Amino acid sequence: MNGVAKRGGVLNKKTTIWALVTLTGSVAALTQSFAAPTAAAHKTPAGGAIERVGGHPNFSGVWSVMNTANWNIEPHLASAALELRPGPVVPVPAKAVVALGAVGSVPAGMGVVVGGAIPYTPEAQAQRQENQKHYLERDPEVKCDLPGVPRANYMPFPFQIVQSAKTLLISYEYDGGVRDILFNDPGPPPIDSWMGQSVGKWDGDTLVVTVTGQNDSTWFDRAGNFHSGDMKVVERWTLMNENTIRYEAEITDPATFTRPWKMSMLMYRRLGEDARLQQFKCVEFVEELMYGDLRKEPLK
Amino acid sequence: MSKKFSAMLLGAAISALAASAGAAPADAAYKAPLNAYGQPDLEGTWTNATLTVLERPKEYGTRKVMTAEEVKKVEGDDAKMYAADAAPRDPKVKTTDLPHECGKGFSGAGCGYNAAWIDPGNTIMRVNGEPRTSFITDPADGRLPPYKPGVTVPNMYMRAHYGENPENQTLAERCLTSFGYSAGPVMLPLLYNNNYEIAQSKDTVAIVVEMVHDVRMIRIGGKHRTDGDRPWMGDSIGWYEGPTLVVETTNFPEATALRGAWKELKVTERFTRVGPNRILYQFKAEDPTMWDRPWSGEYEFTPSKGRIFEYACHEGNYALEGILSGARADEAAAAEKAKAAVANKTAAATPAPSGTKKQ
Repeated sequence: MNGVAKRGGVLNKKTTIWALVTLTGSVAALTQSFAAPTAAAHKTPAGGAIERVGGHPNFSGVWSVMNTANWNIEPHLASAALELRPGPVVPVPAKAVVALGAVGSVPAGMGVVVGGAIPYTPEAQAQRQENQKHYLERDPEVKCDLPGVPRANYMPFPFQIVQSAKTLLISYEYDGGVRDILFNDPGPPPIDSWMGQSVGKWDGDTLVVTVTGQNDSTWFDRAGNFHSGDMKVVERWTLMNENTIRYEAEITDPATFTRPWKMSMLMYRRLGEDARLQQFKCVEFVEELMYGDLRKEPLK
Repeated sequence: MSKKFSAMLLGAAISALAASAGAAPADAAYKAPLNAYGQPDLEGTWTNATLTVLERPKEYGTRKVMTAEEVKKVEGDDAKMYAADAAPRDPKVKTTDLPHECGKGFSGAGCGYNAAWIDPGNTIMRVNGEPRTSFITDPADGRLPPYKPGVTVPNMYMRAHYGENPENQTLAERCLTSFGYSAGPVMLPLLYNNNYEIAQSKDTVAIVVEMVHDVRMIRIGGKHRTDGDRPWMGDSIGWYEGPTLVVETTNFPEATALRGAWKELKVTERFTRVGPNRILYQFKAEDPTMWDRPWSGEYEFTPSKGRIFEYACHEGNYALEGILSGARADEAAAAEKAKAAVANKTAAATPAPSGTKKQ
């Protein structure tokens, strides 16, 4: 835990330095381009050219994380399976996933929760354990539901940002999820939804997105980490150089957590032949799981 | 159900706010704005909801433009239908007492959808200010050219195996794509949710299709894939020609065939901003294995008032489960009935003497 806490501290300091660097940069850029929206290359001291559009850093491109947060946002060692059951000596993979062997096992990760552990209330902590026990029935990803925010950003699929001077759209490969970042705050969302309502503003060169109106049916990962329908997520997207984003998400949800907490991670630009969003319309992949027993002749 | 219902209802409400097709004449002086990348700026939320249909009703013959009287009649009838539907009803009236014909192809008690649900547009499509009888302008009769001899177009509803397996149901019932051909290409309006959002970066145009949150990703300056894979909505590349975005789509999958065409289908779309509130949308579809000649047409997008809401179809899809379990229940009831009929017949043919045990 100590090591993780330290890591979080280091990250914060680094982020501050970067914020200063980019802020200095943005002042220069503002003087160049305050009149009309333009797309112009802008040099950072690090040498990476951050393109700008409409006076702001241009996030356009295909991105993905290189972490295992979708398996578990907390620090974790590798394990045999997403759902385990008691074995004679140690827990073993649940019957439904035994056949997957090593393919069904969980890769290790340093976690993305700043401070290492999620500050659950005692009741929520118990709920998380229950979720883990019944993982296969409960993870909305198993049924190909939309993943919500922030999970959509660190699933093992890329996403593409399409940005102009006035628009920023995020299109996710997983399940065709999509977010339109609203720069004119329309007020509270009139209805809850799976991906919520995203309201954006610029804090210097950092894109700050407040996400509300998400339903209580999405999770944070495959480890049973969850939230209520009252969660507020404040995302901070900062281009550190042309090919790297520092992504932070502050989670506030008093019904589930004792205090607000943060995730922090890096996202990487996909280059060359990797910079192509594919389609992962998983709805048809789960039909046997969800409706197989309702076939005229269910498969044996 | 409630989630899907609310999302759809909200979508319909937003759509209902959509501006009617602009009747403004072409403004020759209009200059389409450029975006920060120097491209024609097509961004915004747009709708193609209209009473005009792809293929021209035969009574108009080769006439592309409606008379003012015809427009008045069609739009007036539509307004009457909505007004009748919205009129207060005696609370004592039961659903079985409601009109059998509800318009827009719906019939039967309750009619499934009422006017509050649907939003196919309330006005005839104006192109360059002209009220149009159809989207298709070529061939001259406004209809698809005849299929080549020997071409058969399978029924998209596959009713022969209705209810047997999820895969036998339509893509819409499975929440895989919209019903109709909303995402296209060719992008065609349907009963509701005719809303799109266009976003442009230097090398990509994204078109968000409200139903079913499909996103068309168009690679500007890209090349068509040659690996034989056929993604959903085909493989779209694009380029700019003066004030026009041109999008060319090939590699269509069979599942989303356009009027039966997919293997050799090429669709070319042209998006041109022709007014502050108008995008002229022109399309051409060609597949030499299906038709002897291409067919093409046009309509105009107008702004959707409001943003696009999430159409989370699969997450609330109790209908597919209902269809399949309903079919199983029907089969069980039929089997039960058949069994009872056999038992009755047997009992009638050989009356069991009293005291004899049933076998």
